[in-house]
Amino acid sequence: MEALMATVVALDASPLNLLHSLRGTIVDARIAYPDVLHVEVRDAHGDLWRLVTQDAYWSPADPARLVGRSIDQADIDRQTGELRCRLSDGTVLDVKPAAVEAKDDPPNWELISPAGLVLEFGPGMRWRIGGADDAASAQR
Amino acid sequence: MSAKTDYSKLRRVGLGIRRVSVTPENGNEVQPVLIALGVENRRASVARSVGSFPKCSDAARRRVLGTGALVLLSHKHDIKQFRQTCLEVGLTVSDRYAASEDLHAEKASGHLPANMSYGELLAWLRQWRR
Repeated sequence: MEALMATVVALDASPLNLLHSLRGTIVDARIAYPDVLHVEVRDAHGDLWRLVTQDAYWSPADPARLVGRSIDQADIDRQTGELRCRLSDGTVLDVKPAAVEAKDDPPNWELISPAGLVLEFGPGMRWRIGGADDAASAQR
Repeated sequence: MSAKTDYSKLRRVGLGIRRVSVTPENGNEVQPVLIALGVENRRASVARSVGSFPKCSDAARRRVLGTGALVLLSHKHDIKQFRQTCLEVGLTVSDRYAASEDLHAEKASGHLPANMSYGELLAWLRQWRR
């Protein structure tokens, strides 16, 4: 039974499952150092998700335009690697990976879940899941 | 800014544009928004200069493009440096999130230089952690 439980947890923590769980109201969005976007999303359970761009461009450029809207669906474009969050007003929060220049390029974005998981995406079509209370990584 | 500017070249040379606004109603046009860099009044000239740039190192681009573009070019470098310094100080991912916001606020208030060296950043993070 214990092994079965572990399997279920692991499957639930797959990158896409985690990303698809990103739904809720954007309660805060702001620029942080070094000019990255921080977006905080409160889900239906009242828990807080944090989306952080790293080596990426985003649209809309003004974080204030995001606050108060809800993320209805978040997905990855398999061709471009863009993160597209469909918002309640019909617009899209689009996070576009920067061009890969070197092997040690940082990830394109990170998603910190309320359960303390960190989902890193990029560079390229790479995922990594770690713990939010683990030591920060310089690259992936 | 000319709608005919070939912004795909900006992306091909991997420049660190801070923010890009995509406007679907204009087809495929991508408009760099450089508000955070304080160079918006010069963005057209920067875009032109960059548009003709061959693929080369950051250092080479900085030498040619000058101060305004230097800031423009450094985003990837800044991210790498910040992540590396956080690692060196031993911050967790959650810590890095909080430090990122505090550092941005402190810079915005004018208490810190616009461009911080690795050592300065390290010192600030160590102080922040305490």
